[in-house]
Amino acid sequence: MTKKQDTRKIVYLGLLLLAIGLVIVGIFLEGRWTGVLIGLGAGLLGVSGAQLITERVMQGNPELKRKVRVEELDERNIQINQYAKAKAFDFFQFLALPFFLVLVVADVPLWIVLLAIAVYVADWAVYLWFLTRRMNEI
Amino acid sequence: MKNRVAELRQQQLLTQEELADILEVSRQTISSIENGRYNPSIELAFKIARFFQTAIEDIFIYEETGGK
Repeated sequence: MTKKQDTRKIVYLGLLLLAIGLVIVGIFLEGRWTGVLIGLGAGLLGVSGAQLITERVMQGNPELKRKVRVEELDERNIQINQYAKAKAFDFFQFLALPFFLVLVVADVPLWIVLLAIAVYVADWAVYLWFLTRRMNEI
Repeated sequence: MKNRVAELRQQQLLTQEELADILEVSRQTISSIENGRYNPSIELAFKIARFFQTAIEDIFIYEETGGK
């Protein structure tokens, strides 16, 4: 096992323990945090558990590991993935404005509307940051 | 862009899977290149050309589309 794999395994194990801790605390805690903690813990448990199982399966099967690596690094797969993500970003632009309108019409508190707009602006900021960075790179 | 990847592969009696393994890409990538649905990167085109021991322009045939 390489050093990188070891580090990854340790990170996932740490996340798994954190997830279990969150679920336990969530069960015993009362109030609005119960749902948040259990939800967060369950999600984290799923992700870290799945990753650990995947690592375990691949560890005993070098051929499968090689195939997975090839699929991950395959240039066509990467291009398809990037295309899908770009389309999803474009689609989000169509969804965002009607969503803000719904929030205003539904008379939700102002801070929620502002938070939603801040998320939208942050998304564009990330886009512009990567756009500028990539333009300077290539 | 048209190409001779399928022809050259068949000459060497290789399956798409075998060529994909050699070039370290997925079988679908080889299939898409052969069908002209996907144009490989310069790097992969060089790898393909090097494997078949021929020049890139002998494998990938550039045809101008559109024009004046």
